[in-house]
Amino acid sequence: MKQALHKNKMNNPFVGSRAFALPYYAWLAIFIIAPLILIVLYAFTRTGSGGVTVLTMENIVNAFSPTYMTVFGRSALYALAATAICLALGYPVAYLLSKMKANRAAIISILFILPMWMNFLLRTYAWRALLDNSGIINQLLMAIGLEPVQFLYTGGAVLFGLVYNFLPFMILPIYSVFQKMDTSYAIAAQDLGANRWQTFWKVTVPLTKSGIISGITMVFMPAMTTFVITRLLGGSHFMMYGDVIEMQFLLMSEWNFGSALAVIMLLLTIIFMWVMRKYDKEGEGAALM
Amino acid sequence: MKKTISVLLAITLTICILVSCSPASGSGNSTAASGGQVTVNFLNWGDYIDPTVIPLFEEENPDVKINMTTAPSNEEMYVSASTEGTQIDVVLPSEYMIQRMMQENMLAELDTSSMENYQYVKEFAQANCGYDPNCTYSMPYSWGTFGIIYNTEIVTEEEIGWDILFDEKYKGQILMYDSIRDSLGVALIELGYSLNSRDEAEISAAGSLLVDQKPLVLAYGTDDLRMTMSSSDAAIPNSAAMAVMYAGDAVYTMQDNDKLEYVIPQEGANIFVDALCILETSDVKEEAQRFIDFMMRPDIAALNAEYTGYSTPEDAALEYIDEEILQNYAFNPDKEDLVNCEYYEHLDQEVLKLYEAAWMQVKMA
Repeated sequence: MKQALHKNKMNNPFVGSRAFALPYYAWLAIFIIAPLILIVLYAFTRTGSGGVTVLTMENIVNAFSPTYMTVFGRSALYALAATAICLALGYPVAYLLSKMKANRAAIISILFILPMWMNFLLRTYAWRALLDNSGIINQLLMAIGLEPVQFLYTGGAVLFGLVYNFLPFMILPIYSVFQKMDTSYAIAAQDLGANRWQTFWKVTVPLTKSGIISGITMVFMPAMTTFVITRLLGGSHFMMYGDVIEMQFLLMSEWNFGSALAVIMLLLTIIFMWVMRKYDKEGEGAALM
Repeated sequence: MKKTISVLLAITLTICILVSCSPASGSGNSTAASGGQVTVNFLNWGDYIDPTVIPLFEEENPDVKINMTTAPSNEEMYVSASTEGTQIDVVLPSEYMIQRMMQENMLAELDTSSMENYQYVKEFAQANCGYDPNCTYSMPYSWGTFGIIYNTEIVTEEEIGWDILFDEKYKGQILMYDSIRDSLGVALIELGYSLNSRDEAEISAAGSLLVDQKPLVLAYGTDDLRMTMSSSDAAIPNSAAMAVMYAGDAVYTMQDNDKLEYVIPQEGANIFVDALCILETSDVKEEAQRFIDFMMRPDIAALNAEYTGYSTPEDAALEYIDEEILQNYAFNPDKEDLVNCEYYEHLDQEVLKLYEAAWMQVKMA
């Protein structure tokens, strides 16, 4: 009897679950889908003479002009560099974390997450003070007799800001894949004569691919669209795509053109996600995204 | 499930469309505060009011609550004030933006006869506020100039003019102001034009000058330049040497670093008036006006002037102000140095587009 009841539940495990999803669907519709539709509408319209809204491709065409594409290229380059550095730093860290005793790993991973409890703007402002010409780092350099370095307001500072802010998003997904990884595969590979290097490249890396891919996505996307870091650490010296979009909305009151830029950004993001997903599916790694 | 989603979507869209169409959606929750208390939403500049002033007002007027938010530039203040359904009641724009807002009928008329403290700003407004001499729409809150703050140990020239900002010698030590009219204004004056130029060739020449200057510039900023200048130090190679700055920020920064001086270049500069205005869309005009009147009280004006470092339009307030600040050149410049200074004039949308395009070129370079 007991078993029968249990079985019955098993057959229909999601009784009423659709109703539970309703609040989320409402949220989705109001705060994600509706604004999205508005942005697309703005992107393909302009206010013509007499305040009439007319359909146009003008915004999209202008958004593809070389000036904006240069900025786009620059953003992509910075985002790629930041992602590469995060991966190079984050992968070994995630590996070492997974090798540690559980409670020690927990402490260390809390240390990674802890700064994220603080507002991102505050942290970036703090770096301004540290990197300043008369900041602590330069004072230390001078104290040991070295020349001070111009850190603040350089491309390096922007890249640093990106890596600093997004590194945890690379470490955590890779770490969670490492934790779930069955180490017997690596042992088997070594038993069968693979050296450590071969084991790493042919067994460990492919097994953690899903973590790497979600790490890359989680770093590349926000890095590509960031706009405050360039202002605070880069002194607004060069603009990222996010800065340009922000400027169109807040400074120029050009909502239509700003939306066109945002739509292009969105499309490229979707393409990027699609490519990454496809790449992920080719391997055996279970998608974490 | 699909049906549910599409029904939800349809409802949401209908709501969105309805909300964006209804003209009376402004200041919806202004009056919604609890216990008969009315909220006045005040859009201010960052760090532009003595923090004790609002609590003081609320103490004297227990029925009014002031909710203050800030904007970083006139353009952004305008966007916030003109966005449909804005909740803002009181704004503090500069004179050129006030002119634009007056033209676009965005400002409510003030009843100066019922404002006890109007008498203290009357004289200043009549002499200096040609755009609104009788304070029909705006009450002058503060005024000031735009100039160069520099470290006297790094910049040793006898006479400082705008051309110092374009001097190769100070490559990587120059801080520029990150705002359309201010930066292009500097370039226009440097080229010998008016900072209210409406000429396409002049504006684009100013833009090109700034593009050429860009390699010399350490950073473009606004409020954050204060921090960078107060740590300016001749002992550090490539330390920031000079910044384009508003007088009020300069007063502040000079208190942190005694190597700094402020100068209004002889070629002229911008002089501005920031004034308190009530938006036409506000539902709480009476309370908002009471707040503005309070801000005009000489002792309150003095508190704010001391705190912000910007000069007050009220002579009656001067007696409350610390002697040391009165001595500061940025706070209290020689009147003869103001001769070449110009107010910003409101520019038409088409001219403004030229400025925006030129500035975009500079920022994207």
